[in-house]
Amino acid sequence: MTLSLTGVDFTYGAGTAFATRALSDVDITFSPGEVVLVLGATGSGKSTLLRIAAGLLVPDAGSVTLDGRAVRGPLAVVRPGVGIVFQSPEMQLFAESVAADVAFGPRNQGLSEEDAIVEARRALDAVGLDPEEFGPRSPFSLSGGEARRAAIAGVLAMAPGYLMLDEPTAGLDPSGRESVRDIVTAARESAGVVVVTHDAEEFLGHADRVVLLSEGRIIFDGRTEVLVQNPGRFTEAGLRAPEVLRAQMLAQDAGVALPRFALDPTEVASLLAEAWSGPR
Amino acid sequence: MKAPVPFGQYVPGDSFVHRLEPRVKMGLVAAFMLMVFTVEGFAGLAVAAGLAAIAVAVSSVPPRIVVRGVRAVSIILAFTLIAHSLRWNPATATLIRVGPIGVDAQGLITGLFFVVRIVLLVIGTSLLTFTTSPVRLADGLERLMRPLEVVRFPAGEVAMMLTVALRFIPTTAEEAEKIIVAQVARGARFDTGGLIKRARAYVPVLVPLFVNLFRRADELATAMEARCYRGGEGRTRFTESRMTATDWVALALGGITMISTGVVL
Ligand SMILES: Nc1ncnc2c1ncn2[C@@H]1O[C@H](COP(=O)(O)OP(=O)(O)O)[C@@H](O)[C@H]1O
Ligand SMILES: [Mg+2]
Repeated sequence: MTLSLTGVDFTYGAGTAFATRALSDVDITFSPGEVVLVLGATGSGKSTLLRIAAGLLVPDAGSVTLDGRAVRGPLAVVRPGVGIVFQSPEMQLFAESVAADVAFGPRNQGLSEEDAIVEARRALDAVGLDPEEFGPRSPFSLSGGEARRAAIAGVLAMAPGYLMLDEPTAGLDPSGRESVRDIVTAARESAGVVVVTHDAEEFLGHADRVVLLSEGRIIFDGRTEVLVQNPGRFTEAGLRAPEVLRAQMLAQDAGVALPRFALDPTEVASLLAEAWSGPR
Repeated sequence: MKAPVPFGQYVPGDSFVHRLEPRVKMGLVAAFMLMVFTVEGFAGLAVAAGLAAIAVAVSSVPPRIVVRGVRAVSIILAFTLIAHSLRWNPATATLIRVGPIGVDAQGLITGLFFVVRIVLLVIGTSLLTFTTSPVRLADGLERLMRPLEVVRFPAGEVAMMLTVALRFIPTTAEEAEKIIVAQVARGARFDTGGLIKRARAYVPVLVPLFVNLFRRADELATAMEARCYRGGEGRTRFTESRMTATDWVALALGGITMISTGVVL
């Protein structure tokens, strides 16, 4: 189940005084089981890219295909489709109970009441909310982190073939961020995962592949390891490289001969130690 | 999904109309509405339309945006026209007869009259909000309501309330759109079924919209108190606006033209 965007252009308010070009000539392919991180500065077109990939916006030019078939309309309704978790998804919670809210998507997909409830329980488990405890509660009584997880469960319950998340950790405390990261990395077992964020630090260590967006264009699309060896690409995209990479770049500028860059602090420490004890 | 320019949103500019005192604009709009309501024939409406066209031209608000505001009430317009011109008893229809339904010529003309009247009212009032920033609008309202303070009417508070309300309209519209997209992504449909089913489909939009709105109102109230908001009394303001000679002339000329048109035509 391959999801492809080919030559996609998109302009908001085309033909009006407010026209804003959001994406230009975007080619990108997503595959199941892969975690792709889409990084870009604010306004670079990340959210637009997700909406188009999920079939919620129709590109002005180019095409979106799922397994070679052209996509028309929201991809959430099919199973397995493309599930999308929006920025601040807790804003979409509405039902009288968490369980009913999470079951909303599967019910819309045409599942029977019982099947929808089964799916809701499974999804609540997957995000670490005990269905017995949280299921009957009002979604408006949840803490910020719990509400975020409940909203993600609402999308997971639709058994998406692709799970796309827009700034999924924004506005959460450190433990909330960590639990969202765990949910996202666990989701790769059943789905292709696409995470969109402007924070290079947060998901880099968990991604197989990174796409850098700048002013609506893709300026990098490759394996995470390749990007890590070229931290200058972050700056080109108007982003700050992760602190751990910046430290290594500074060390290199100061004359430390690093054989390569690494993300894991332990690995960085041993690389630095090696370079240090080398020829002096 | 089109980016909506919400009906009546401020269009920044520096035209003659933008610079007029808000109170003058409100007075002129009131006179305009009075005229549109009192004229009895198309001649009067034509004068009103001419004045509106001049005002739009001078205001530098793109006509496209004005048209979009009118389009927002197109259903009301269509309904007005149909209600006036359609006849269930074909015998009384003078223009067209199709089976049990007929269209009446006189009714069609009356309907058109009302349609033009509504269009002019929409253009007149939206021109006020297109050319006046919410802050100046609220300030103007407060000044207009000031005499009512004699009877203990809280002019300052009401004006603040209106400012806040105006400030929240675009945010709320944007938020509603976001929630609709999020629910569509969860398979919600808003375009199928009968009236009741469609109304029910909006529950997943309205509930979070209101919950967020109340929460935000609460936060705003706390933040305002934390910054020592203390009602209308002794409050200083950002924009000190006062009447200039231009304002008086515009008010006098515009007011006289419109009121006399309303009386004569
Ligand atoms: N609904 C909209 N109407 C008009 N312009 C928009 C809208 N949404 C986004 N844009 C514009 O499109 C560009 C890309 O936006 P977006 O995809 O939201 O970027 P990102 O998610 O990377 O911050 C920005 O310039 C933004 O201002
Ligand atoms: Mg965004």
